[in-house]
Amino acid sequence: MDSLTTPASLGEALRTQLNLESELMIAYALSSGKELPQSIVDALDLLEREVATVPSLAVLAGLHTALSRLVAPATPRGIKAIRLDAEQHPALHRIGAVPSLRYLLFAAFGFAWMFFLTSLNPGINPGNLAKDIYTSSGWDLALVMTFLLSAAGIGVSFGALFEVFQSVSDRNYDPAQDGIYWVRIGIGLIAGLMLAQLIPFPQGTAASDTLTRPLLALIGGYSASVVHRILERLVTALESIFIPQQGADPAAAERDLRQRLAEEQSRQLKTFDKLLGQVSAAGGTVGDVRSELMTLLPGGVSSALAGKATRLALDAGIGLMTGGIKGASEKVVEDLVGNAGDVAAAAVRNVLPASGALAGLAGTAASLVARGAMPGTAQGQGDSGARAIADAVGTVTTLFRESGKADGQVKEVSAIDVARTLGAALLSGSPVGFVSALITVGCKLGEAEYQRWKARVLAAPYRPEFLPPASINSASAVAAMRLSPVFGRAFKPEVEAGDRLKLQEIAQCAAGPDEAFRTAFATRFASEAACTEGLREFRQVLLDRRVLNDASGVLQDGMSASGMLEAADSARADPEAAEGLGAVMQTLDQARAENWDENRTTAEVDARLQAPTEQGP
Amino acid sequence: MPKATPLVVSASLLVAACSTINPQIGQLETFKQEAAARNWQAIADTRVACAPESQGCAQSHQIKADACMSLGNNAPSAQQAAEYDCAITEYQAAVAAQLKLPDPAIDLAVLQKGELEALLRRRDHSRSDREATPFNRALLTEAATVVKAAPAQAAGYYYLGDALVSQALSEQPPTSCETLHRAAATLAHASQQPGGYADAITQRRRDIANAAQAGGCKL
Repeated sequence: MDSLTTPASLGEALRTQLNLESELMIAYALSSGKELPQSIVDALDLLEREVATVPSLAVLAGLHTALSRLVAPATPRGIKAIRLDAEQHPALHRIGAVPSLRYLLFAAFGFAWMFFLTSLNPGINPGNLAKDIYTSSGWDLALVMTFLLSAAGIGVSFGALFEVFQSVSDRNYDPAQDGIYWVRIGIGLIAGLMLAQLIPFPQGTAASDTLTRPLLALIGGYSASVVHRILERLVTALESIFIPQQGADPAAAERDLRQRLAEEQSRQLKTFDKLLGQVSAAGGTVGDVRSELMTLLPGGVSSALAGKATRLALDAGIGLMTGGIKGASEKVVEDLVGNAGDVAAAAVRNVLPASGALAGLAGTAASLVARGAMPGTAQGQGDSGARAIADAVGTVTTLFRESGKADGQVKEVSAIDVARTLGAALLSGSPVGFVSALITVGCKLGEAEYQRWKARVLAAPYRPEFLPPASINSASAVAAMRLSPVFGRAFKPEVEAGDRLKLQEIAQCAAGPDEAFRTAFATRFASEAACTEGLREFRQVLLDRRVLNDASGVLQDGMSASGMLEAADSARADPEAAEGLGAVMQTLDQARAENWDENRTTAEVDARLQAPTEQGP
Repeated sequence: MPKATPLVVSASLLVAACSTINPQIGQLETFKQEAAARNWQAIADTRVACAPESQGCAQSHQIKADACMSLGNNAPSAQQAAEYDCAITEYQAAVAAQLKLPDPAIDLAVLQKGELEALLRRRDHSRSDREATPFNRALLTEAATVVKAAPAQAAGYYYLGDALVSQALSEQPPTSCETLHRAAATLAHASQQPGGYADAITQRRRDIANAAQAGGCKL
């Protein structure tokens, strides 16, 4: 029996590892000038007081987790590897922080030197480089091949070196990946040579005209996957010559991939449970570890959304493998568009506090999405709805691009990240998010802020108390003037001269009653209408910023105050949506007057939004 | 009564003699009486005559600075700049006197805040960038000094942030974007420290957001 599998020895090994890594992370955080959160300071204090006894594994694990978050994107493993190398090889460490970096640096120099030496030879000339393996031979061909190999080597060593440099720089270097870099160099050399010598480019195409052989070798070395894809397409083209009737069966391939991914996920879940069991046996409690792990999921992803996100991630993973990044994006779009209502409802449940009323609202809003009765979806797939989906897809695509692209990792990481992304992106632009944001803001703002916000949302007439003149100084005036073209033109002399006193006076006057401003400055405008428009524009700049500021202070993460105002503007332009907006605001007025809590307000809003739905065709 | 009369006369003579021997004490007393009567103009019209290292000098300058600020805040706009100039000069003199001979009745931080506020108001009463620039530069320097002296107070960070916003408004992108970024970071510090300024900080943040939007800056 392996000694590490006994609970006591596993506990001791974990304690040693947690101690060492925590110490290194604290040193790194302090030396990087990071501010230690209170939770970490408390944990350190606890450890100091427990120094006479042995600190519990749970305390150490808690501290380790908190430190890992603090130093992210650095990882304990990366910090430890770099620190150990500094202790073991102090002289070499100055050249490269980890062995891989030094070896790759050496390889890069070697290839660069080879490239330099071969290029000195007169045999490396346009004539010889234009020849291929069929039209050249002997020393000339050997020289050209060596030259192209060195170019491929430069490309691949550059790519690998850059990757290792990034991971060392971010302190998330993984020594277990060392071997992969050398395999990559081997693949890159072969790919570079194949691309430069073996793969035919149709003459007269852009590729044949602009890409010289050394450049092709360099590109092939840098990105072996390009060569791999080209070869796959060649194989498909070749197949189609001999088996023209039998194309690839995408459905079968997808089924196969889906099954493999499901098996992989199941295997990983088993491993995870086994790990929890081991930690439990070593002294911690499974409950502690589970709850600690759940806190890693931002906002506590609800099971509904997590399920959808897992499905989405699974599909996107399949898309990624069958069609690359584009394929993944297409899959995500397809799923999101097909399940927009369900996903939006799940997303809102994830972000908003759980309650029956909210679930009802989510359902109502989701059905409104489908019917196109709410802002942003007035004409089917409306602007803000489409933008939310586009945002989600963009972020998900970035996640895939940045992830390791190993099958399992992509799927596991993305299930969580997709959930988070959807929650934020869909809420920020969807009708569900809009209604939720209205309720949250309407219930939480103070009276003066609420009146200002309501006037902005409903485009009600301006009142001087919305913008106290004392709050506007010369900087406010200058900054707002730059966003108000009408005022900018009317007061161009003051703006150009930098007459702060006058600009402040103008701005403070504009924040007051209309009549006073017209009396003082109407002559600066071409017409009465221009004066009115300028006043409206300038006040809106100042007012928007205040309203956004007020609303942002009470909105939850993932809800956008500016998105809410944009949605309000578009809602007012659509009669049906304007009616819904009016109903929501009336409910909020009543809720504030009668001191309803947020849940009751939500239920009332839900009921009033459903009323026209039921009467509809 | 006949016994008390000589005592009263002696005391009066003593005070008169003191004032004659040390006129600064006399001026400070007068200033205090004028200030209690809110007679700001009388104080502002009087030149403070004391050596910085003399007793009570910092107090005299502070009272006059406060008087000038009060006048500046209530004067017609054409006269405000001159009053703020007076306040700046007097606060600076008070700070210098306090540093030479610390007076327990005076808080240096209050003097510095007064000077910063006077510089800010004077800058905002400028009629051109050329006029405003020296005041804003002085505000930057003095605010940085206050931040260094009292890093756990909001005042220095707030005035430094304000000066940076003003500087950014006279610059062009991308330089202005960098300055706005620094201003935002400084105001973030200000909001984390005690000492008030919450509303003013919020307003400056709104100004930064507007200026950033106008300049196409990403903060």
